[in-house]
Formats: sequence, structure tokens, C-alpha cells
Amino acid sequence: MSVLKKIDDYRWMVPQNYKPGMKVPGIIYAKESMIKEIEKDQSIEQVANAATLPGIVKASLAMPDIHYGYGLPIGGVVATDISQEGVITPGGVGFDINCGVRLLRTSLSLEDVEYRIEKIIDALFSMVPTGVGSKGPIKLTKSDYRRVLEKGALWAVERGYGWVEDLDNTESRGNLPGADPSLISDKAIERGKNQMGTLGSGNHFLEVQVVEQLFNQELADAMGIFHGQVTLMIHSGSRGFGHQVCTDFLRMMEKALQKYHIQVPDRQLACAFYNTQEGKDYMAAMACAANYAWANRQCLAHWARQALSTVLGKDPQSLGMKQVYDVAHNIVKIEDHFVDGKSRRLAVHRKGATRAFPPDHPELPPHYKHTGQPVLIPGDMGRASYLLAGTQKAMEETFGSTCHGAGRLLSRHAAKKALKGKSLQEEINKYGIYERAASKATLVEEMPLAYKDISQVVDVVCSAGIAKLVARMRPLGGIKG
Amino acid sequence: MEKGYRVFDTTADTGLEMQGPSLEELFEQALKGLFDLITNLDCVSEVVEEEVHVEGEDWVDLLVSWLNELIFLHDARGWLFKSCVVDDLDPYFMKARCKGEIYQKGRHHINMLVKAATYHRAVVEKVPGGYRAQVVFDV
Repeated sequence: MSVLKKIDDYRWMVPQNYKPGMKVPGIIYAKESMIKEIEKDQSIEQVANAATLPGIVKASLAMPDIHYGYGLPIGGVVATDISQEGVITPGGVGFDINCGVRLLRTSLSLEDVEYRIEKIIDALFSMVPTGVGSKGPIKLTKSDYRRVLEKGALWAVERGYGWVEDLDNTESRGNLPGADPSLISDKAIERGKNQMGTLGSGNHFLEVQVVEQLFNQELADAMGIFHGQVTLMIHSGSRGFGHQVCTDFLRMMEKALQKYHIQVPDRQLACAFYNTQEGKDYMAAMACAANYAWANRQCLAHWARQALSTVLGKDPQSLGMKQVYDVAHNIVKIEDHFVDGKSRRLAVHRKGATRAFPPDHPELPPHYKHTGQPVLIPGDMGRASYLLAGTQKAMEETFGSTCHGAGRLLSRHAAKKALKGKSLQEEINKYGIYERAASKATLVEEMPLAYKDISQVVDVVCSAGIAKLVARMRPLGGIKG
Repeated sequence: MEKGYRVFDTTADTGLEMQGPSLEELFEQALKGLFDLITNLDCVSEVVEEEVHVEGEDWVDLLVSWLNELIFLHDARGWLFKSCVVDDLDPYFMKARCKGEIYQKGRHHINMLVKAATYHRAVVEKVPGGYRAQVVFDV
């Protein structure tokens, strides 16, 4: 029998008595048809484990794209009260710190690019370093590096990569405060030295899309989105720099467990109280990695603008290549939320979950005050991606959070097996897309059949009211690692 | 017991299981298995030697740290290792001479980006005839 108790059509509870030590219940956003799949791996167990974390408030939450992760499940949202005994856990963020998504719009329509899409994708592929071991054209000097870690996207804009207004359209203005580069290991510095402005590998991508459906004209207008419009989406993170920061601090947190006598049911939830040296050091190092990622996506956006500009023979300004928004989906942030009618300062861990702040939230720029925060949800490379908006209900129920993507359905090996005997090119052609990748293996592993249907995930969060539909974009083509 | 390794799959990540008659051989198999995931080992020559030191808290921690050190050397410096000789080994420290070469575009093909070795389902255990271990990578 399932441990899950149905709350309503889109919410399922893991009761607080399911596991000893749970301080709050677990709540999973999903519809009935998804439950079987969710029960297949250990992710429900992970939701329950997170509910035992010291200082956790309200509930251990999971979005409909939930699947097994390291520590917290992917799709997990956990908030701890830092004025009480709240903890910080690197397992609640993941290895790719501030992996996230950026959306650029254009003034172009499908007919402007359709006949030269291959040229555009080829230009992107030649200008944007992709794949494992790719080095960026940017060589970070020591002082540059420091500024990247302290200032994030601002550093890139100062260096001419992008526009000042991009910062208004980036979560936290692309700069998480409190970053302390003195806490970063030589190894992390070395790993990140040549990777600034590189896309990476795996599920990271840069994609040219067309807006194929509008769900809310008013919100779309306010975000500069129209039917048939060409958009560009970037999915990347903090590269080897962030992976090394996570690796380094996991070791430290393992020791902190013993030092502060914290009991967790899973070694991967190693954590420290926020108000300890270990807790503060991780936050300050994590902020460095988050800022590295924002600088990285800022550089990638710059090259995307340059590539389109080169092919179309017009400058990015006259192509209307403004930034819609940039979101982080692997991060922990200090935020104020109402819990039981009282405002509390919380450490909100979002691991494979996206911030979705409502209209009038003070962190939003004036032009998004009436719409709520734009929320960017990438799908697989063949089907669709979504533009959503944050809601008050998300603020009330999920600490202003919603889903982050489709989530894998098949392992990499299973994806290869499923494609056996079929032509990769024919499979890609089925979706009418043009793809370039540094590695053929990546294309095989990232085929749409390896992913859950993003539309189902988006349907749950929008029906549950923790995001609002704005637009759906269909891929025309893209580049991968 | 024959030494060797095997890749196993989880939905989002990739795992490695290894075995060997001695712990030294177990750690050597871990290196081989990792770089077999990363590249085609047939294209890697054992022309350069690099000494690697790692510290750990116990066998599992040492194995995870060993793999994370190799991931760092690959990601930051381009190392592709094919074999190693383990000179010193206890649960808290190991020293090995790793043989391989630096990545060269065109000659080497990279199959997979491995972000880190994790403690998830990580095991080092004594089994009849030798040792067995497993590690899951975040990829």
C-alpha cells in the first residue's frame, strides 16, 4: 500500500509518523497518474528524510518533476528557520550549484529564421564553447576571478558581456551577497579557471525556440512575448568550479555532523546549523559558485547575441534580443516567508526547483511587479519549454517555489538501448529540429524519449496554483555538449 | 577472484562496481572504471606518470576521495589515466603512481562529464577471495 495520503488532486502527503524523527510532514505535488512512477525510486524516502532536518518548517516539499537525487530528491524544496536551529545542507543544493535557465526574446518571427536555422545553430556551435573539456575564450586574471565570485553577472556586464538591463532581469540581479572567495579551495579555482563562458555537457543546452502558444495575453505582453516569436533559452551552471565547491564542503559537513551531534537518517544530508562557522562558510562559498554560474550564463547570452547578429547581419539591439529573465534552480537562499502568520527568516533550499515569487514581491523589478516573477521551465530537446509566472499561492504553500523541468524517465544506458537499431538522425528529424553536439553520446542520452513529458509537470504546478501559464515554446534547434 | 569493474545505471546517474583480490587492485580498478566512463581507454597511452596522494576517514571515504581527486585532475588539468600502481594504502591515506596522458583534441574522445563521486550507496567490503566496492557518480 502506498505511504502517500491524497490531500487533493495535486497534492500527496507523506504523514509525519511515517518515519521516526520527522519534524514535519512531506508534501509532493503530483497527479494520480504520476504516483506509480514516483514510487519506483527512493525519492519518497528522501522527502521523509529531509523532514527530519533540524529547524525545518511547515513541510518537506517536492515538485512533480521529483526523482532520486543526492541527499534531497531532485524537485525538493526545504526551508529551515535560521533564527531557530535551522540547518544548511549542501545535499539540498546539489553539485551543480546555481544550475539555471536564461531566456532571451527577439523581435524576430518564425519566418525570419526558419530558412536559415541551420546557419544560426552552426554559428552558435562555433561561438559557444560546448562539451567536456572545452575551454572558454575568457582567461580569468586573479583580480577578475575575485570579482566574478563576489559580483557574479555584474562582472560579465562590466567586461562588455551583455547589457546592464540584463541584471534587472536576473534573479538576485545575478549576484548572491555574502560571497567570500577566501573560502574557496585552490582546486575549485583551478577547475573553474578555463571554464568561464562554457556551456558544459549532459543536459545543458542553448536552444532556439518559437513561441507556439500563448496562455495569458496580458502576462505575455508584459514580458514582451508574442505568438510566433523566436526566443533563445540557455541552460547551464557553475561548471567544474561549483562541483568542486560542493565536493569540498560535503567533507566539511560530514565532520560538522559529529561536532554538533546532529542525527540525520542519510549521510548525504550532512549539514550544519546556519549559525555556526561551518554553516556560514558553506553559504559564503556556495554564493561564490552561484555568482560564477550567473557570470557564466551572462557570457553565454552575450555569445548567443553575437552569433545571431552575425548570421542575420543586424546588431543584437535591433534584433530586440532583450533578456526575459534568468532563474537559478539549484540553490539555497535566505528569504523572509510567513509561516503560521508570522514572518520568519528562512534558508530555502531549492534543488531542481525554481523560485516563483508573486506579483508585488519587493525582489521583482518594476516591470514585473504586476506579472509576478517569470519562471523558466526547460523541457527536453524535442517537445517544448514553458514560460510561467510566480503566484501568491506559491508564496503561501511552497516558499515561493515551483517545478524546474521534465526530469529523466530513462537512464542513459536505457536511452541508448531504446535507440538501438534506429537512426539517431531520423529520430531527431521526427521532431523537426536541427541539433549540433560536441558528442554524439550526449545526443543519444538526451533524446526526448529519455525524459518525462514536461507538459504533465507544468499542468500539475499550474493546476495546483503554484505557477501561472504564460507561453509554450517549441524548439527549432540547439547546441549541446 | 579476478579483478574487474562493471558500470551500472541509475535513472539520473551512473554507478561503478569494482572488485579485486587486494585493496590495491580494487583502487586500481576504480581508476580504470572511471576513465573508461570518461573516454575510450584504447586511445590513451601510458606515457606520463603522475603521483597522487589522497586522505580519507575510512575506506569508503578514501575511495570517494580517490575518485574525486582523479575527477579534479581530469577536469582541471586534462589528465586521462589508464592504470596505476598503488604504493601506500591504509584507510586514512593512499599514494599511487598514475599512468596516462593529457587530453589531446582529435586523438581522444570524451564520452561523459563526471561531476563528482558521491557517498550515495558507496560501499567497500570484504568478500570471499578479495574485496568489492561500489560508487555512484553525479554525471
